[in-house]
Amino acid sequence: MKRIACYAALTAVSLFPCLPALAQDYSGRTLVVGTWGGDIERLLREHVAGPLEAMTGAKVEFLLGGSGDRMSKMVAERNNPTMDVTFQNIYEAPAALKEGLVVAPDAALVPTAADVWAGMNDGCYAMSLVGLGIAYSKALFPEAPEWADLWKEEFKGKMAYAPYPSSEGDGMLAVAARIAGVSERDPDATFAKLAELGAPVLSYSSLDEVFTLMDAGEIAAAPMISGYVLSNLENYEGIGFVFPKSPGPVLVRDMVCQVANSPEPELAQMFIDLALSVETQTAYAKELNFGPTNSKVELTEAEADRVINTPEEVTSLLQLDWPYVIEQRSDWTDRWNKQILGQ
Amino acid sequence: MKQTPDIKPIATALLVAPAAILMFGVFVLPFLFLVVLSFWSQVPGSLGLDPTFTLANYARIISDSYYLGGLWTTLWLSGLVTLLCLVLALPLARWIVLHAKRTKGLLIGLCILPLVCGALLPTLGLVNLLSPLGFINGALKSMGLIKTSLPLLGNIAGVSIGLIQAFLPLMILPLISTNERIPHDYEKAAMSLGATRLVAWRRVLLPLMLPGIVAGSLLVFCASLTAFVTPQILGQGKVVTFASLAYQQAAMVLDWPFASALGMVMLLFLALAGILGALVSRGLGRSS
Amino acid sequence: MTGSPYLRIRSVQKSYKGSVALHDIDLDVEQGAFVSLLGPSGCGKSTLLQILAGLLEPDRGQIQLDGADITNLPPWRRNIGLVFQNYALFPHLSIRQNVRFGLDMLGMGRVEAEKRVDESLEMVGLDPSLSRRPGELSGGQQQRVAIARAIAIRPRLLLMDEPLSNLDAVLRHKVRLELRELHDRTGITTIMVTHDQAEALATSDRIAVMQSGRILQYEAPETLYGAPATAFIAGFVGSPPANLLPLTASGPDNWTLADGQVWQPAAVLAPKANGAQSGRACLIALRPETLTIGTSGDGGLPARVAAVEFNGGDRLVHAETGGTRITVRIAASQAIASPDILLFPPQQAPVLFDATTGTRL
Repeated sequence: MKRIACYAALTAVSLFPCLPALAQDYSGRTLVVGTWGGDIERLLREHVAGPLEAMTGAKVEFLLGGSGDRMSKMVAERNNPTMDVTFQNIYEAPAALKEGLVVAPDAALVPTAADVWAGMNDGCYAMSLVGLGIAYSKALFPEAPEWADLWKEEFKGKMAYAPYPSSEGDGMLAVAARIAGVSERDPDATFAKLAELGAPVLSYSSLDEVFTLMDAGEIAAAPMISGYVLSNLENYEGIGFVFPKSPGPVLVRDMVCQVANSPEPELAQMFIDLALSVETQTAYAKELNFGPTNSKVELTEAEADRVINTPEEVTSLLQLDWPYVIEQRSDWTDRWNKQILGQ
Repeated sequence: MKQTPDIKPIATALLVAPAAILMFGVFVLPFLFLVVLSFWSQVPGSLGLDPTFTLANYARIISDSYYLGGLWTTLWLSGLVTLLCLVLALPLARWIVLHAKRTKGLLIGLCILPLVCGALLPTLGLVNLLSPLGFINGALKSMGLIKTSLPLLGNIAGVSIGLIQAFLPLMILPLISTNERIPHDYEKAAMSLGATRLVAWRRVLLPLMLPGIVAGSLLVFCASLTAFVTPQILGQGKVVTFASLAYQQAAMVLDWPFASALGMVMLLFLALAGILGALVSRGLGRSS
Repeated sequence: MTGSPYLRIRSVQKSYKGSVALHDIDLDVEQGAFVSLLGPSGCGKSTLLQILAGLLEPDRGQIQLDGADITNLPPWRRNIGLVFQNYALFPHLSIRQNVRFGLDMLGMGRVEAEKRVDESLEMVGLDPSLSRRPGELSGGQQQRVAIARAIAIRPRLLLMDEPLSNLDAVLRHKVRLELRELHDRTGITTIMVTHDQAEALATSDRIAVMQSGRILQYEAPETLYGAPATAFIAGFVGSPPANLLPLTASGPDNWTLADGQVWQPAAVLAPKANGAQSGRACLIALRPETLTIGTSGDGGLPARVAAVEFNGGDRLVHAETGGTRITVRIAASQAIASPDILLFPPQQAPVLFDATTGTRL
């Protein structure tokens, strides 16, 4: 009895110095974050995971892959999620919320969310703003093209698209609809208009694939997310990028979501808080050319030029009714396969 | 004479049980779920599943010329790859068995290399090789043989090259095994009796190699039928295979019931190929 | 058989990866002859056979068959029958289909071909109604089918590569006679490769003894046996082969054996009579059946009996002399009283070889 008391006292004494840290101590815990690999992973490690690990003693584990896989994972793990934080596309976030897979954004739990431009946090927290613009071959387009210029006869069959479904594909459909004078709610006219561009040269699986061919003039243009293209422009002299004006670029957002019923909700909230912070958002803008969603971010004029970072710019963008698009996913995929690729 | 003791059935059962349970839990059960899933449907506009029994998924595949076309492309691509692998592997396997006594291990190792490297890396390497701006076109142009690039990507040619490169080992290994049982003397005897090399192959060697040919063909056909990464990357979205369609539905459209149905159709053809192979083998066994 | 030979092999050479398999081979074979290529393994006999069949290309040289140059003809145009050591019967075809194979290659009509198959099978002593696969037959039967298959095409030349090696001893004895009888009946020019000298002696009209890629001697069996050209041949041919006793000439009348013993044989056997200068190292070939054993007399070689083998009809006495073991064949009835005996070579001109070169004196 005496011995047990001795040991108990010793244990208590040795734990004493840890008491202040216990309030914020998550050592031994792991936060699982799903995101895209490459530069995004690198930035998140540097600006979010690193500080979080130092602050809490927890470990951050990254699961890399495409957002579609993460959607499938969440649905499959609905009752027992293993992922805490996930990065999704703009069209996936509302669906995820509707299905109860993610926690609705709450500025009470994630303070920096309050700094995000109003109305952006629908479904999940808005992580970055990018626009769908036109990446084009300077050899074929001496001047930066408008959307309508792509429909010129000489460029037929020289486009490149990302595999569908994708935000690039949906954005391009929206543009085609506008050019045809309808909205995306008229799929027959929309797809017919897009089909006028001819079958694509390729559905690319990597950026290098499409950039090499575009640089050489074998591909005329491709609808692309500004961030990726701008980062690569230095490597390819023959490629240009433009945000067209009529219609404007299509707004695309990366969203970061807290998975519902995940093992580490507090750590998840802390992670998202850091991701939305000025520091991380600035890094995103400077290094990836992804527009910050945090209104408090300040950029130089040169930097601001390359990204979408003000509400005015945002309102000038073409916004899609994403929940509607999701509903049409199966039908549009079929149409894309048959009418666009299958020509 | 003392008889060796029989292994008690209970002991056998205990030894097999762990693997069997694992297989059952990790493979059989999920597989059965997939079968069931193919008869469900997805609630439109949501990610939920409607478990009412329906044949709609299968009806969609059968009635839509796009999916039938994809099935046809998949089947005839697999057949083409199998045939080409056969043509390439037959002389190579025989040569290795007859002439490469000392280097045989090394050569077999080289042949197996694609299997070991996985699907992705060699395929990406092939993209560089086959691209309009890639090595092959560059070499042919600099030799003055062509003026404009040959389209070797985004078509059956490119995908076939990728699949042949990946699955040739599956044809070579069974053929090597079969050829080891066919001594060189058989060709020599046939030639001394008046058969040219070609006739000797046709009348003597090929019939004797049939078991290996059947085994290898079955392996290559089934592997090609279900290949995903290679047709996706080398086909550049323009070669529609059932595996790509299944992936698109499963991982991007998230219509899991329909994706399951696509998978079941592929499985049907795998089963048919397997049955055909078994029948041919049995026929061979009976006639010898 | 006069006139130019049926098969002429001229200056054929073959090397593999630097080592020479055949050095400048010349050989003539008359039409209808039965010739053996005899030698230990590695002597080049199988290589020569493959070259004759067209399965190997010689580095140099020429082969003429029936007046025509066939050196560059592919095997399927030579009309040469080939019988392999392990028969090489096609396992997926029946016996009859195997035998018919060559006839199908010739484009022969079905009726005629079937008749020829019957003939060939009968000729090798098999029942033509045999409807089995090769795998179901015994070794001896498979060999007959292999021969039937080769002769069915009525080849100009029949080549056999160690045809009896895979048979057991009893069958071997029986079948080699049948081979000779078959040859006599068909009259096909036959070349057999073997390492078994008894086989060659029993069946052949002429034997080409080969060693290290060269033909040492090409004669009828009796000549080979009675007048071997080299010590190797003497020590190889015969059952048992000749004993080779090393001795050195010491003076005109005496020989010194390896153990220092001095032997003064009969005059006809002395060094002087055979042109051996004093000090010349030689080998004398002593045939087991021509040696006699005695206990006294002049010119005998003292020897000590080491072992005696009973052979049914005769005895083989193994005795040691001059550091060498000598085998003598005596009648079964002859008794050996004591282990110390005298060996008497026959009183005639001996077969002597130079000890270093092996050539005949």
